[in-house]
Amino acid sequence: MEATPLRTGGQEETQAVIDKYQSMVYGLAFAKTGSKADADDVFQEVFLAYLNTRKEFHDEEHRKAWLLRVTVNLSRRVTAATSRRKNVPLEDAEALAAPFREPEENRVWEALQSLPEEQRLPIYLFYFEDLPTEAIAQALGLRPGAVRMRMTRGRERLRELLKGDYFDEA
Amino acid sequence: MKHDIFDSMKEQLNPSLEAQADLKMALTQPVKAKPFHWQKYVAVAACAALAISAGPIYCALNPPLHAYAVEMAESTQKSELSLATGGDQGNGIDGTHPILPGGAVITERPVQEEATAAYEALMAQFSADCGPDSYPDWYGGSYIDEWGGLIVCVVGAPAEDKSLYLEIQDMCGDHSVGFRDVTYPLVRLNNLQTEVVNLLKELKFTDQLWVTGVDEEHNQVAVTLPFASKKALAGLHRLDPAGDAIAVTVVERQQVALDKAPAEFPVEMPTVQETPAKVEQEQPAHYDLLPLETPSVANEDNALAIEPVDPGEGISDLSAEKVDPAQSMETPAFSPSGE
Repeated sequence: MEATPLRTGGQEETQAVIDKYQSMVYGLAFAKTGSKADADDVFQEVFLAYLNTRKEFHDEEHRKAWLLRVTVNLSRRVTAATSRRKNVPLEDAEALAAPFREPEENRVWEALQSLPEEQRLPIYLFYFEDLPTEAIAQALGLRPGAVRMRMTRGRERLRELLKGDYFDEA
Repeated sequence: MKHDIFDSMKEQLNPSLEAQADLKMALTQPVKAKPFHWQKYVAVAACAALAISAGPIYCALNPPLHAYAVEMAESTQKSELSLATGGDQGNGIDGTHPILPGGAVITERPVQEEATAAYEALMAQFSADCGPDSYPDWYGGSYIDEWGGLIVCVVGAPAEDKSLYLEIQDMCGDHSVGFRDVTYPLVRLNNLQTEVVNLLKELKFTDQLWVTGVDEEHNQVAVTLPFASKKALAGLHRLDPAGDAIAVTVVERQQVALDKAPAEFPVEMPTVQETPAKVEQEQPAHYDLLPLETPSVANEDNALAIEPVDPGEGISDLSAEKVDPAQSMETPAFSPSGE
């Protein structure tokens, strides 16, 4: 895959970035919001913001970190907006029930969603996105020590729920 | 060990086709340039300008005033203060005693002779070095302390270097002097006093009563005002921003009328009516003597019995005789001859 230019701007360049990071952005938004519809909204807004920004990234990791930060911030905004809704659309209810094909996957996701957000997001980024602790800390605006502590507590909770070694410390 | 389950789950975490289509559509729209809200920047600039200028505007409308002390004084007539400029060697109370710096007057006390001699020697040296009525920059004035010794005020003398003090001591001859570190040279204080005088004249204080003089003992210019004039205090603050070169006193005087006795005075002033214009001569004492009764036969038991006295002899009846007050008091009131 060709290297994506580090300067934002242009439809083609943006599309290349979308193709590369859409899964990361959508997955993080889904882990945070718990709603596919909200995750779709966040996905669109993140890349529209990327298109409109005049930011110049000094490397690929910088761009990735920027996308993660914007995803977290926009997810927070969407969550605050949808929390005022009293009625959950039927499609969201169905999506929440079985977002994945396999029952084991759904059980793992359900256990992950049962964690508080401060533990859920670091664990998702570590296991699903293979991000190091420092990158997770930068994306969430935390200290690396705080990230490790939250992940430890989240793992303990998941072991109790899943009775398995899905989330080991390796 | 990472489970494959996470990879499988991640593959399924993709946005919906509708969302991808909508995003693609949005990307084809021309990027709208962010509107430049110039009103916001104008408002910010105006607020900044107002904040920056608020201080100077406030100072212009409410200029800082020089601090002052209030002194209450009572007077039965208008004050007889006159313009005084300290530091001159004028004549003292009776015109014969010279005035020393700080207002001290040489009296007959022998204690101040040494201080006077030291001062005169110092002034003579200044005159020789700097010219008449001129002083070196280190000279902050001098005064006689309560023990009669001359104190020379020194400006800017380094604490570790005593050479200046020794030099001053040499100037004063064999007379001992004391030293004191001050802030302002006497030259500066004299110039400052001139500026104060000009300021008060500009403010039309000529018909009011004000006093200014150089107080060498306190290393200040002393200013006395009849009232707390804001313009004067603002002008004095401009001349002395630090507030330690000029000492301002506002004297508030109470006028007391002589023909009335105010309630607060414990002593009642006598009125004209109560004061007699003439003291009348007192009448001499006038005695009427009654004729003596013929005593009865002496009773041996009566210790008070007296021998009979012939009325023709002895004291005459004074009731028939008027005493002339014009006669001298040396004239007896009665005459043994009975005339």
